[in-house]
Amino acid sequence: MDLVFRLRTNIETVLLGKSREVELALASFLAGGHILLEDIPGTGKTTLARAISASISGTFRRIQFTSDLLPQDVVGVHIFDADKRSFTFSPGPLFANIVLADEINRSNPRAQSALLEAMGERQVSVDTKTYPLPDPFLVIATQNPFELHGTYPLPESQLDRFNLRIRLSYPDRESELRLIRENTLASARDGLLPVIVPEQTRQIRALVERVTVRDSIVGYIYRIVEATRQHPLVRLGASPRGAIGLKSTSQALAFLAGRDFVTPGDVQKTAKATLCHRIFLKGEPGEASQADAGDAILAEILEAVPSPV
Amino acid sequence: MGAERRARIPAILWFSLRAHWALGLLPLAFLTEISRPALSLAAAAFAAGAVLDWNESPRRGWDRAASPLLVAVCAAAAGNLFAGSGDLLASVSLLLLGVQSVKFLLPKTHRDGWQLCAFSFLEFLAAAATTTEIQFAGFLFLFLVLSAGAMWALQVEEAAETGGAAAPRARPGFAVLLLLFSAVGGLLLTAALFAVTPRIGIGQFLRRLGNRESITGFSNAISLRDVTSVKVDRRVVARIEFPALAAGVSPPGLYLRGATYARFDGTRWSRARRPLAKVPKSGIHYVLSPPKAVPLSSAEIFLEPMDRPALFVYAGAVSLEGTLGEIRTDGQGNYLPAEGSSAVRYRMLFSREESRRGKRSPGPDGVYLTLPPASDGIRDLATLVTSQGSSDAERAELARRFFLSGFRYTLTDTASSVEEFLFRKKAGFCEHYATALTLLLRAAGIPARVAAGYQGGEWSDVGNYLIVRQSDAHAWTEAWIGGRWVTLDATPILGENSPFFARTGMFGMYVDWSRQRWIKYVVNYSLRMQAEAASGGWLALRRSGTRIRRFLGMPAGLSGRKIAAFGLALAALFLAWRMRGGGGSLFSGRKGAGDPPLPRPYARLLRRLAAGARRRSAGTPLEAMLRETVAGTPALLSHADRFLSLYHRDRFGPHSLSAAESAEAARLADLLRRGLPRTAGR
Repeated sequence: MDLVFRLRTNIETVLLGKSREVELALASFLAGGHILLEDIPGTGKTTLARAISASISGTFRRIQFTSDLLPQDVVGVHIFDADKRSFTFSPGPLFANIVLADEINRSNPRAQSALLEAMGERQVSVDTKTYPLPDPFLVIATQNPFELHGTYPLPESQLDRFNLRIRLSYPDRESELRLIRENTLASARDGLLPVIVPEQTRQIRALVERVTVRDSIVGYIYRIVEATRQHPLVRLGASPRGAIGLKSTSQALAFLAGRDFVTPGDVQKTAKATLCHRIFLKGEPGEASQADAGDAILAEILEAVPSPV
Repeated sequence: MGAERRARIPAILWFSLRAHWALGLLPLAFLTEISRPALSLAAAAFAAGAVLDWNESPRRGWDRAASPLLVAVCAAAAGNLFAGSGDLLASVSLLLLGVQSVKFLLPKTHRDGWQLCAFSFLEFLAAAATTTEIQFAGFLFLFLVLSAGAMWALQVEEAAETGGAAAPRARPGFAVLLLLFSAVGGLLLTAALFAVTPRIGIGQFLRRLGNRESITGFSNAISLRDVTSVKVDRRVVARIEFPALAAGVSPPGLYLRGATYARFDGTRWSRARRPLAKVPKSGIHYVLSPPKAVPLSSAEIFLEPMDRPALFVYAGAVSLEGTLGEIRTDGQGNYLPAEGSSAVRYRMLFSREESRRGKRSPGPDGVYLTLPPASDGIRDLATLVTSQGSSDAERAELARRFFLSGFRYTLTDTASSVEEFLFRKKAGFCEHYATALTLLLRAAGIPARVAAGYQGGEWSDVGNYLIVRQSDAHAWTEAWIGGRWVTLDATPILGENSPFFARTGMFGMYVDWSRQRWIKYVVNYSLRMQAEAASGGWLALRRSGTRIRRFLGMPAGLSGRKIAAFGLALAALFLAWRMRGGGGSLFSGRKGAGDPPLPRPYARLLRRLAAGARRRSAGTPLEAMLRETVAGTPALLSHADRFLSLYHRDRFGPHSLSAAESAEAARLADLLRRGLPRTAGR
């Protein structure tokens, strides 16, 4: 518990005025879900990702996604070892505890798809061989909204593999004033000390899994997910993976709050981040207003589905 | 006590508490006959206490006087019981009023306030038990409304006295709602019970406890002023309905006779001294005169509560019906009810004209021809006036017409004797006319007598009944012509020129109509009337049923049973439809069926939160509602936090709560529910 608290404060010292988002990101990390950070440039996406990774004393790699990035650049390649006269695997940047996929929607779909297997099954298949990824393995991707220049929208299957999509909006006035006062372009806040080792992460995850989820809560989650599928404006609703993500993240959130059980409030707090990017509306995909409309629909569903008491 | 105490109570509550205390006295004063001096004492004590309270005069030390005063009151009540009136009811009321007065004047703690409320309530009940007045409904409503305010005020006072920490025990708003609900519900329940419970005419019993006032003017002897002195009173004496009227009978023209007088000694009329005989009864009817084959009218008379020595009947009355006890008659048109009887409602059959073919009654004796001594002038006048008449009827008509010219009706410049009226002043009122005509007829050899009672009345179009007031009191002449007593009225009909004429306005008519219905259907409602109403209603139902059937063109063979079956089937369909079509919203119908039921304290808190419009939608969890609500009241924040942690652990946690924790959660839920602000704190 103490560890978790330190982890949290550690990250919040870097990212001012974003405790909710930090909490969610942390919860997703504890639940083992990948995180997609989305917003306009300069709001602290990369800072958050770096803060989480820096707080954990695991290996950390960063992949800067560009339009000419190839799958091999991500997962690694077999190269011919002249000494052994055989092909040996040269692991790509994906083989790390935490991978920061910066500006993921700037690369073409080919490179994006290279992440699919890694994120879903925590393993990588190159040619005929399969290599397991380290544990814990977490992908934190950042992306700019679609409408900006030079972006490729992520396909549905890719989006579904992200457990959370967090949108970092502008910080509030107080936080931003402090931000402006204390920071310069040259010296960004960085240099966090790690507070947690990968083994501890595994222990905490085991604890999170033991957080009680009563049947009424499971039913609630099911009703919410089902409602997204039946909403008349929705083309594709949330997947079962989304429902599982919702449950696990709620568990982690409850754990962060010091409880050993999930309340409807936890589910409601998590639902927007876990389900919004999994709802695809009718109409032209990738339209500018889609993301906001998804938010509105989820809010409507949360209002309408009776919460357990 | 003191300044800071009243400062905590809003003025309106302060007044409503005082008004509540005083309201117990009001119906007592208006509706019952509780001792007036004791009432005035209590009212004075109340006024003094209220003024002192309002000015916050310190009364420290005064309460030492309370105990001696209470002892004195007890002594006075005991003295009244053993040495005074000896009436237990009066003594108890004296005691209650005395204790109440002491408490009005010298209150010590808030408990006195509660006791005063209890007193007020007791008095109110006492008034309710003994009243027959419709105004009581108004008192009831006022009482209930003021009770709510009073309770509220006392709660506030109590809280102020005990330090203010205690949460109020009753929600004032809830109390108001409860009281209003009980007022309406009580009224409906009473109405339902009233319709189905067999009635015995409770008015008969209540009447004895209610106020009674004597009427003068119809006693054994009357002077020349007695009837007219009654006329200045505008109070209603009786209300008369006419369920059946024979042709040619007009209610405002009827004479309601209370007494006849045979002997005149120059200044006073008195009754004929005859032995009294019992009026024979046949079934439920009192037979006043043998039945005749003439069209009969019926009248239903509802008397106001007043003591009267005589029973009023219309001329030509055939039979009476009602709980009148034993009626005695002197055979001369005087009907005397049994001693102490207070008949309030009776029915009468009467005929306007009597059958000529009937058996001739024996003629009246000499007392109806006796003139007072020294009435030669009257004899001469009688000869002069009636000499041209060939029969008794013609002579009587001539005598009556004699008064049509040269005489005027006046109340001020009146004659003191008949001679003065006839020969000098020629001005007077109905007794003068009646006496003079009677004496003229006697002088002309026609047996005659004076009758006193009420003439006509005001016809109410609103309720179709006759309102007879004291101002309709009248005296007239009856002459024995053709074997029966004929009504002759020499008094000019003044109509609107009468000094006693007053027309009841539209509003007054409706008020009077409501009183008439109250008296008829509440105070004097009896089993018999109930049965009549039921049979009448059943007949009306049958009639309207056939009418509807004819209107719809339905064959008469279509039985009611089929229609009922059809209606039942429709109702069942409707119910089934209602049960099926519950879900209007897209998601609301899908609440998890397996969820354990919500324990009662939580459910009540949830309802309370939802009622306060805190529940924006079905999806808002209890936690969000509660947090939003208590945001405005910092005192509850810690309670809310503690409650939420317990509640969450109970409802969503891995283990159920221990017994102590459950109790604590229930207690907190209760506390929060009570302490929540009524309106959204935003």
